[in-house]
Amino acid sequence: TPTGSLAARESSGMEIVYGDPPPLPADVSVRVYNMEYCPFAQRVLLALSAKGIKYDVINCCLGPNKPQFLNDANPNGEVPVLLHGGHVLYESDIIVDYVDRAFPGGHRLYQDNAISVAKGRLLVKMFDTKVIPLFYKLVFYPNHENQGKLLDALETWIENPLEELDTPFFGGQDYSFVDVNCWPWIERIHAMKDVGFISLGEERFPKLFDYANRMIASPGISEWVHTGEEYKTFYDSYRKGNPRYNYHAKRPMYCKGKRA
Amino acid sequence: MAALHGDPPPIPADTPVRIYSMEYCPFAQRSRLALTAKGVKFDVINCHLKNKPKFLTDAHPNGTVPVLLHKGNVILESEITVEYVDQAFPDQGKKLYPEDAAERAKARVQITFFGQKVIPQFYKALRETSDEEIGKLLDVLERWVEEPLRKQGTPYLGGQDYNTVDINTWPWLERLDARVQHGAISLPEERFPNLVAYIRRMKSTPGIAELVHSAEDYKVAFDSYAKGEPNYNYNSPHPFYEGEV
Repeated sequence: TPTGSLAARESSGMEIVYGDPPPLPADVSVRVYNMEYCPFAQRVLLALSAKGIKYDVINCCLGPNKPQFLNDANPNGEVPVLLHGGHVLYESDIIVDYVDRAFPGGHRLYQDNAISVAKGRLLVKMFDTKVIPLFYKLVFYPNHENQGKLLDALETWIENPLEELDTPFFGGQDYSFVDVNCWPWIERIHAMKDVGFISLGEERFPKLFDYANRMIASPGISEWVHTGEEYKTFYDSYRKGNPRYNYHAKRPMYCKGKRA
Repeated sequence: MAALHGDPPPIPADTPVRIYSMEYCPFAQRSRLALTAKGVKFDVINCHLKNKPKFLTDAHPNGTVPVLLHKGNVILESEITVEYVDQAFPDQGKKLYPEDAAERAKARVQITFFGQKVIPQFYKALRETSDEEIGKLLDVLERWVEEPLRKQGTPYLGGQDYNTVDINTWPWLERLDARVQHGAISLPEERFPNLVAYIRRMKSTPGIAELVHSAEDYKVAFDSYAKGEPNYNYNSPHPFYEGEV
């Protein structure tokens, strides 16, 4: 894709950058290769925010114009990638785990309890396999049937488990790795209910609505939300094959191409 | 052994863990390897996977094995059971996961990539025994097993001793080895020196060796699967349950 059309895609004031990112500032030890609207990468941002440490976010173009440094870092060429202490890590849920262990202070994302970890992991796995694919199905084929399937899955794998909890979060009194791993898609669905993506009704999903409000109000989570309009714009562009990867982003986006 | 019906007897008092399993299921073998590595006594209830016993479908929404029962807890999903066993029995047996956070993450990534890149191709090559599919299998084995072993230069994927990476990947390598013994696949030592040595080593490693099935067992199992009538409990020492007829 010619760089001209890339530039045209961005909202005004947002740069596209070529080449490699600058070295980390002296007081920052963690960098994330991110994409503004990637829910998998958002898992990592949430985990880092929970720890209250400084981290550097490098937004990347994905698709054919992805920057070379992303392909070099990850054999799958995907975000997120975490760089810390000379290590290059990928796979979002594994990075969340790593962040909790590597930065033991701040907000703990895991309990020291084998069964709670196992149950949490199962919930995340069920969410990954039963809910997430239906989200993308609805993004690419927005019809009534796919809406229905996503709503049914959301009821089984989020609303009902929330009903069975006697705590505000899956993690207990505060959010845990389960909340962090599921939230990005719940956030998108909840945000886009008001822009015609999905009819998410409070009567059918009272627990989910409460939970979403609680999550949005939580420090660390709230810094990475987007509006329904932003998500809709992104996902419409994604469906049409011309993703606006950096729409309304507050940081520049790195792309493959010549140095400016 | 004839299939049993109804519920299995209660878990014996001296046995901390029960597993719902199937003799030839590689996923369930991960759990059994982990329990063996930790030195945990466990009782095996093998299940028919087409005519599933009710106690299995009650325990797991997908009705799949393995299912682990421990202290009234029900643990599902093979990779999750391996981690659970390591955390629930921290003071016995082998350490299954590295202490260091980055090493732990890398171990989990290796398991994930094996699951994404090798396991599906293993099944593809089993179903479509074309040169092309077998060729692709050898390619992914080279990239995701031979290369790491060569780069690490250690006897096991886990290092000096086997760990979660070996446990989570070995079941498919054992079956690969059976296919080689059947003459269905060729694993040339010139191309795969580390993998060939690793397979030999694993088959004689205590904790692994006890659960290995012979090439003949696998021939019967694979052939029965191919015919659509899986012989789920061939040559198995464990009780075998099916659903009501």
